[in-house]
Amino acid sequence: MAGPATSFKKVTRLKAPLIPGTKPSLHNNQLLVSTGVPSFDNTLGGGLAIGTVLLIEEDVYGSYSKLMLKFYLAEAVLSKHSMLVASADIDPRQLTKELPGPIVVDPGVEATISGPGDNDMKIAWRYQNMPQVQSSPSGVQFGHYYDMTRQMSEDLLQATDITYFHPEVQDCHCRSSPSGCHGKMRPSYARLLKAVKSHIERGNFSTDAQSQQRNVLRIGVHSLGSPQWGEEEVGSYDPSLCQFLFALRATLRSSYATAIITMPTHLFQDTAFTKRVEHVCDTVVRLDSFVGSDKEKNPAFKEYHGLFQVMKLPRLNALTCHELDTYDLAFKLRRKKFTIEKLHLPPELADSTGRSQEDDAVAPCSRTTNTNKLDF
Amino acid sequence: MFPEINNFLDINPSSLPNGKCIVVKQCGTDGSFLLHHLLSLYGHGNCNACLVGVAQTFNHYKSVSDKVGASLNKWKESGKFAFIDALKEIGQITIESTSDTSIGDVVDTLDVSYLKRLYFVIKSAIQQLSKQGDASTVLVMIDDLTMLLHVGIPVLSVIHFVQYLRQLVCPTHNSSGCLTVLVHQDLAVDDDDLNILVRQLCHSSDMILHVSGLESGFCRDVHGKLTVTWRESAEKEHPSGWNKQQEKTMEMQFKIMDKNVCLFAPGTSAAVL
Repeated sequence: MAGPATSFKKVTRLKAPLIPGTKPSLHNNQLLVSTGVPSFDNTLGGGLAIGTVLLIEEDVYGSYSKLMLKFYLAEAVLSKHSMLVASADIDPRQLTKELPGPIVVDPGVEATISGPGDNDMKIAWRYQNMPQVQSSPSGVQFGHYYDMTRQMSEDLLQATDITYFHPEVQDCHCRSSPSGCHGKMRPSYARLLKAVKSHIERGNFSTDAQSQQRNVLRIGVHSLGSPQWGEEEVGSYDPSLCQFLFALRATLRSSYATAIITMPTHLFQDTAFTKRVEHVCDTVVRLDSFVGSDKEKNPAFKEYHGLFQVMKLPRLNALTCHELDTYDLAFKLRRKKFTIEKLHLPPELADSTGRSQEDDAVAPCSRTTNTNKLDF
Repeated sequence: MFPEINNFLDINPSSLPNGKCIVVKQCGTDGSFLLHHLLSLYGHGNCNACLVGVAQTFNHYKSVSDKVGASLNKWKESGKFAFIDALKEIGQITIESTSDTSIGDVVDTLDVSYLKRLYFVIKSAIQQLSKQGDASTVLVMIDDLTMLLHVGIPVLSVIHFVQYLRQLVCPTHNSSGCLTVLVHQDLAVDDDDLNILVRQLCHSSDMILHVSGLESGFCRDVHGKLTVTWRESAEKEHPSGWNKQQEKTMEMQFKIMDKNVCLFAPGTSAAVL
């Protein structure tokens, strides 16, 4: 009876190529990367989905958005992802030089735990020969905390594949007439788009490309749409920025790459233009810092540094997007932690009430024994 | 396919909204569940469909269709479904038009010429479908028309494009095609071009599905409000007389679940009752 051919075979599922620093989403099976801020990852539903564009609308001084961009890039260094940094306002090299250093758990503690001698199992001895459980099979932790007082070590930076992009200033002003380039994109955007495209082709980041060692490309664009990129308010509406974002999105959809773009949308005169830009991107969040505003002194906000508004969450491979408990979010910056927290608790209106019904609760001012002057 | 929406819109696999031009208008929230619904409706009816993806990729539609129980892959293999990846095309055109080498290329500009090309692509796709499938009913769907506007195509061209498509797909109420377009409008801001587009589209449509968020803000249990407006034209009711234009409006609130959509009358969410 023991025939060699049996229909019972161990099902070995074809594993998706494991890339360090990524994990599949529980929601829609999309591959995610960390934004470098774990609480931000949670807000997005686990992380930033590969192939999508995230837009951060800058706070007025642009300091917090720049910090978030740095976290995103620092995460690339730790996960050994490839990166492309673009900025017109500052030197992109400056941006990577200032990356914050990671807070690593003391390796000595781990070593003592996993020491072989004192780890003999007395009761569950059968499990002794089992391999140690590893939470992340790729060996790289998903998401880190960073210490703003330290800098990313030079060795790690050296080991990372970084490409810089800086649009030449003279090109931004070469246009003689604003409407002269109808259907043509502004040269600074066009050049960045070409740089992204060629980088994806060169580094085999495209989904079509066959390669053994897959890696993720992280694109960080600082202050896109600022006057340094050549963006200016002209009488008629200029679609260059939307064209760029749309083309970027189309390119990323078929590649192992993500992009975080910060944009000073408060500089745009026309809110309709901002809405268009938001509509073209996949995920949109807005930072609204309290610096210089009345809210700085408001006691309700004293713990926080600004409001964190989620404008848009992507719907990918699913009917629904990630559901947030509340959209009332705020961020705060500690020396070693940048976190996004709930500003208020949402009203209790869910299908099932979270708390038990307190039927025997006594109404205020109506106790039976008159001990308080206010009672009646 | 979400039976509750079928009941609400008074359509089902045996009486498809043929000869109609449907505008899905989303304000402040996502209305794409209606597109998935209509797609699966035509898929269940074993009809032809042509989907133009400007905002989303085919993989997205495939995954969602698998979830709601109407496999797009099988449909596509049977030759009755065509997907036109406009997202990729527009992206490529944008990149190519920026490079200095292809200045002389007339086709590769994001302009009226692209819409013309897209029209002929859709037309040939429909012809191909009707050759394959026996049924002549066809659904033509464009997933986000506003994107076309945003990438710099003039609003008038987009309106003309939809008019052309309408003539192609459902010229009369008795024709066997259905055209569905999605537009995104933000009511809080005045976007002139977008307002013109939405107004024109609604004017020439037979059914407007207006999806909007709640005025009171975000809620976990009620995702928004769906308002349907039937614009029955007079000629259909009374070919001879001066029947007044009937416009019937109904409103429901909805909650989108993982694989289903719940509809309920305003204020009767399970969380409130």
